[in-house]
Amino acid sequence: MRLTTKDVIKILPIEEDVRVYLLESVDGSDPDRKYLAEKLVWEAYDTLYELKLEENMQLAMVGTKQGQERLDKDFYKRVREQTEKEMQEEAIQNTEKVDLSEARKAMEKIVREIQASKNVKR
Amino acid sequence: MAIIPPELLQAQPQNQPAKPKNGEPEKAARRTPEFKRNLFISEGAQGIPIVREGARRGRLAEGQDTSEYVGFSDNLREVYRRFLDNHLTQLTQLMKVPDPLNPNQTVYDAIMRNPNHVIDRELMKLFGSEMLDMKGRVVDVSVSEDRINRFLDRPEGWIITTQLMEYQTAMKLFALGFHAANIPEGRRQRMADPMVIRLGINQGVLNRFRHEVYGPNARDIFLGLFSADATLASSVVGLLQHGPLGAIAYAAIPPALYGMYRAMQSWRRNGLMVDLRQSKAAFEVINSDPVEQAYVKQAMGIDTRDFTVSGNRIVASPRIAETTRSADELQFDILKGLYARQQFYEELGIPREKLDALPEQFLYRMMGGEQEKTGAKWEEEVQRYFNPNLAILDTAGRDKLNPDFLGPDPITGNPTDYDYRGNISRNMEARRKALHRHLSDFTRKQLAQSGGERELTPDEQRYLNRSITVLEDRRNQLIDSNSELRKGREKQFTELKTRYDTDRTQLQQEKGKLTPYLDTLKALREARDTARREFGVSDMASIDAAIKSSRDSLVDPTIAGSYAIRRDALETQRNTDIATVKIGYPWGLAGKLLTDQVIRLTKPIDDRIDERQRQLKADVYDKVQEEITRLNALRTQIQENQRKLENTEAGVIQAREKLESIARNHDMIGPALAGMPASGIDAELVAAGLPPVGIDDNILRTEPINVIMDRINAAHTAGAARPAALGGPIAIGWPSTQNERPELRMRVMYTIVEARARGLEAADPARAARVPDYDALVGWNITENQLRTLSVNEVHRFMNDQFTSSGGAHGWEPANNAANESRVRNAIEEAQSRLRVRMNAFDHQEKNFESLIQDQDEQLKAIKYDTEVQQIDATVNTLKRFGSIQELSWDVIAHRDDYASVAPIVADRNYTQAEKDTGAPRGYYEMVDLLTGYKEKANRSEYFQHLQSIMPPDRLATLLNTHLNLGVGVVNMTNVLNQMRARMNPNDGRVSTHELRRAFRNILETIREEGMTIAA
Repeated sequence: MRLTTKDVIKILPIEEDVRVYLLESVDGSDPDRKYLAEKLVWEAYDTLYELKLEENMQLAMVGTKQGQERLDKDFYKRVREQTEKEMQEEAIQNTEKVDLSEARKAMEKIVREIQASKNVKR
Repeated sequence: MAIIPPELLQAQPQNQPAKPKNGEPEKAARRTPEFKRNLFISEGAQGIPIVREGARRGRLAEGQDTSEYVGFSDNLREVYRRFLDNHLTQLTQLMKVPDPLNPNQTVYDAIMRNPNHVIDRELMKLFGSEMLDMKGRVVDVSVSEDRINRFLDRPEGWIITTQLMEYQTAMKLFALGFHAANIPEGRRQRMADPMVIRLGINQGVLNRFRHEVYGPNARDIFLGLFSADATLASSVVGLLQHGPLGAIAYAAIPPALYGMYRAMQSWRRNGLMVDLRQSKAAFEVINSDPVEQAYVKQAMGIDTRDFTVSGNRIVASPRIAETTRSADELQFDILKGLYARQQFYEELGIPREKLDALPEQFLYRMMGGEQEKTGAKWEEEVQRYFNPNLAILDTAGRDKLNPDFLGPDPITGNPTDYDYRGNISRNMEARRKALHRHLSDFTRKQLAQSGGERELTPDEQRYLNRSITVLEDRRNQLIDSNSELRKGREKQFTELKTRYDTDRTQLQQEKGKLTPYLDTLKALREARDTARREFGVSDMASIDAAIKSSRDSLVDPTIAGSYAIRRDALETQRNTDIATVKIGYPWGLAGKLLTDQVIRLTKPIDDRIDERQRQLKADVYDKVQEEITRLNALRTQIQENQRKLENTEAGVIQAREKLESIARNHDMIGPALAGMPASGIDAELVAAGLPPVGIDDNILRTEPINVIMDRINAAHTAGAARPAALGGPIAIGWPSTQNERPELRMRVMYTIVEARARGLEAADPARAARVPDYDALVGWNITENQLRTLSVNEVHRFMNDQFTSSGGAHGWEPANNAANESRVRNAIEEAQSRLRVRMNAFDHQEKNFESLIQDQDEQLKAIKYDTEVQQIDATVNTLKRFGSIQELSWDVIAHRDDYASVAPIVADRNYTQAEKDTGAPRGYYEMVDLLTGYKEKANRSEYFQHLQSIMPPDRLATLLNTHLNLGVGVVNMTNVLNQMRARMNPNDGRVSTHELRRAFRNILETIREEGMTIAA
C-alpha cells in the first residue's frame, strides 16, 4: 500500500496539535514550512519503522530459542517483511481511526486566510 | 556577509583576568565561566559520575558524586582557542592557492562550496571577515580572535570545538594512514590491522607541546611521560620522518619493528597509552575521495599521493614527496588533539578509562567492540545519525541486524569482514552532520535572540531553514535586471572599467606633456633631413657654408662660372656685337644716320642680350637666391628647434625632464639595471633583512597595475612590522589606503613603462653594438638630449672640442673624425632608440588599458544569469516534491524493472531527442523524473537539459551508490541500476521502501546544500 504524507501524519504517535500543525504545513502555501514538515514526517515514520524492525528482530530471536522461528538465510528477510506488513496494517487502522475534525478546522482556517489575503490584494 | 552573532560581538568576559604585575608576563587573557555539567553529558549515563546537587567543581573517581557545574581550565581554554585559530587561519591560507581543477577559483572557494565542508564555511562565517576583490572573489579573510574567545564563553563553543578537534585529528591520522587507539592497562582488543606503530615522540616536539599546553614553568608534568626504550623511540621517529614522508622506503626498516608491541609510555596518572596503528581502510577513506585528498593536502600539508597501499601496509610512493609539513609538526598536532580531547573529558568528570583515543576507535575492531561511553550528548546524536546497527556493514553490504552478517559472501562464497572503509566513511558523515547541526543551531539561537524585530538577511534566513525562500529570492534577483544583486555583480566590472579608464586618461595626459619635446625633436629632424636631402647639409655650419657658397657664386667675379662672370660676359658680348654693327656701316653714312635708324640696327642685339641676361638671371641668380632663402629658412628652423631643445623653452624642458624621470621612478620601485647600485622595493626589503615581495621587471611588464600595487602595499606592511631585532619599522612603499592617489598610480605606470622599454631594448639584437659607443660618448660629457639634437658633424665637432679641452683625454681630434664616424652614428641611434622604445612602451601600456577596459566590457556581457536561474529552478522544484518523492518509494519497489531498467532508449518514442542525446539507460530518466518531475513540464526537453547541471548520469549514479550503500565498484548508471534492481527484489530485500526513502532524503539534502551554495 502506498502511503501519502498525510496518511503518515495521521498515523504518527504525536499530539493532536502537532498533527494539525503538520497537516496545515503540508497543505499550506509556505514552501519551506511544507518542506520541513514533510521531512520531519517521513524521518519520523522511518524511525518508527526502525524501532519496529528492531523489536521484531528481538522477538524473532526469542522465537528461535522457543522453536517458533527458524534461523536460516531467510530469517532477516522474513522479519523485514513482517515489519513492513505490520506498519501497513497499523497505517490502515490508524488512518481509519483518526479524527480529522481538527484537521478540517485547520484547513477551513487556511482557506479563510487565503481568501482574506486575496481580498486585501484587490 | 559574515553573520556575527550579537552575543559574540557584545558579550563581556564574565571573569576578568587579573592584571599582571609589573615585570610579569601577561598570563591567559580570559577565564572560562562555569557551565552546568548536564549541558555536556547525560545525567546518569552508565559509569559516569552522578551530579551532586549544589556541589562545586572537582574531579572525582567513577562512582563518586561530582559537582553540578564545570569550569574548564585556562590551559584547556588556551589549547581550544589556539586550535580554532590555527584551523581557521590554515583555511584562509588556501585563498592564495589556485584550484588546480578550476583556474577561476582558489582552493578556498572550492572548499567553501563543497557540501562536505559546509562546517568550515559556517565557521568562517562565524569567525572570519571576508574581503572581496573587484570581481567579488574572496581575496582575504581575517579571523577574529575576540569572537573565538567569546565563543568559548558559551557551552556550545566547547561542544562544537571538541567535535571539530576530534574530526580534524581523525582526518589527519587517516591521511597518514593511521588510526589512534588508547590502551589502558594493556592491550584491550584485537585490532583490524596487525601492524602497531608506537607514536614516536621526540624531545623537540614534546618540549613545544609542554610549553604550549602548560607554559614554561610546569616542567614536571610531562617529565618521564615518554621515556620508553630510546632505540625503539628513535626508530619509530625515523619511520615517521623518513618512511612515509621521506626517501627511505619501508623495506629499510627492520622487519622486527612491524607488529612489535612494547610497553608504552602512559599518561602519567593512570597508565593510559596511545598507539598509532596503520590502517589501510582509514587511509583509503581520504585517498579515494579527490575533495578530501585536496583538502588534507592544502589545509594540513599532507599529500596522500606520497603513500601507497601495498597489501595491508601503507608504504612510501615512488615519487618525490610533496607533503609539506614535517613529521614532527604532524605528530605534534595529532598528539595535541588527542591530549586536549582527553583533558576536556577529564575536566567534565569522565574517567579516563572510559575513553578511547577518538570516538571512531570502535570501528577498527574486528570483533564486537562497543563505542566508548562518555555520556556526551553530541555523541548520542552522532550515533543516531550513524545508527551503528544499520551503518556498520560487512563487505557484502549486510548490516548487523542481518543474521548473515559477516557470513560468507552470497555471490562469491568468500569469507567477509567488516567494511572498515565504508563504516569509517559513514561515521565521518554522521559526525559532519551532527557538527553542522550544532553550528546551525548555535547561529540560529543567536539570531532568534537578536533578529526578532528586524528583517533577516538572506544569510540569516539560511540558518533558519528558509532554503526555498532564499533560493526563490535569489532567483527573483537574478532575473531582475535592476536588482541590487545584478547591479552589485556588474558594479564590480564597471568599477574596474572606470579605474582602468581613469588610469588610461592619466597616462594619456602624461604622455601629452611629452609632446612639446617630441614635436620639437621631430621638427629639428625634419629640417635636417630636408637640408640633407636638398642641399647635402644638415648642421648649422654646413648650411652657413652653403649659403655663403651660393652667395659667392652670384657675386664673386673670381669664381669661375659664377653668375657675375656670366652676366658680365653677356654685356661684353652686347658691346662687341653692337660695335660690330657700327663698324659695318658705309663710311659715307657714318654720322649721318638718324638715331632711330641706329637704334633699329642695334636693337636686335640688345634684345637678344637682354633676353639672355633674363634667362641667365632666371636660370642662375633667381635659383641660387631661392636656395639661399630656403637654406636660411632651414637654418632658422634648425637653429630655433635646437635653441628650444637646449633649455630655452619651458614646455620642452619640462617634457624632457619628465621623460628622464621615467627611469628614476622605475628605480624607486623596480630593480636597477645590471651594474648599477641596487634599487627598488625588493632591494630595500632585503637590505632591511626582510624577504622581498617579488617586484622585478618581468612582473612589472606582465601583471596588471593592481597586482603591483598589492605588492607595494605588502612591502609597506612588512616594513612597518619590521621586528626591533632587525632595527624596527621602516617606511617602504605605501599602504593600500594610498593606492588611489594619482601621483602614486602614475609612478607605478612610469615604472611599468620603463620596465616594458627595458624589455624592448633587451630584445633588440643590434643594441649590444650601440651601447658601448653611446656609453663612451656620454662619458665624454655629451648628453642623451644632445645626441638626439646634434647632427653627426656637430657631434664630431663636440668631440673635437672635448679632445682639445681635455688635453686629449676625451673625444678625438678632427683628423680622426672619419675613423669615429660609426661610433657617432651608433651613439645617435642609441639615443634615438631610447626615446623610441619608451614612447612605444607608453603606447603599449595605453593599449593594455584599452584591452583591460575591453575585458571588463566582455565580462559584463558574459555574465549569464540564466544558468544559475535554471539551477535554482531545478533545485526548488525538486525540494517542493519532497513529499511526493517519499510517497513514490512504494512505486519504485513495485515497478523496479522500470525504475532500474538498463535498457537503451534510442528507439523509444516516449523520450525526446534531448533525453536520448544523454545516452543513459532508461532507469536514469525514470529516477530523474521521480526526483524532478521533468516529464510533466511543458518545456520537457529544455528542462531536462537544465537538469544536466545538477543531476547528470554519473552524479546520480554516485548519489544512489552512496546513499543506498550499493557497494558498486565501477560507478556508472548501468552498474548502479543493475545492483539496485537486484537489491530491490523481495528475495534480496536489501533495498526496501525504507532504504529508498532514506536515500532520497539524503540526495535531496545534498541537492539543497549545493543549491544553497548558488544562493550564497
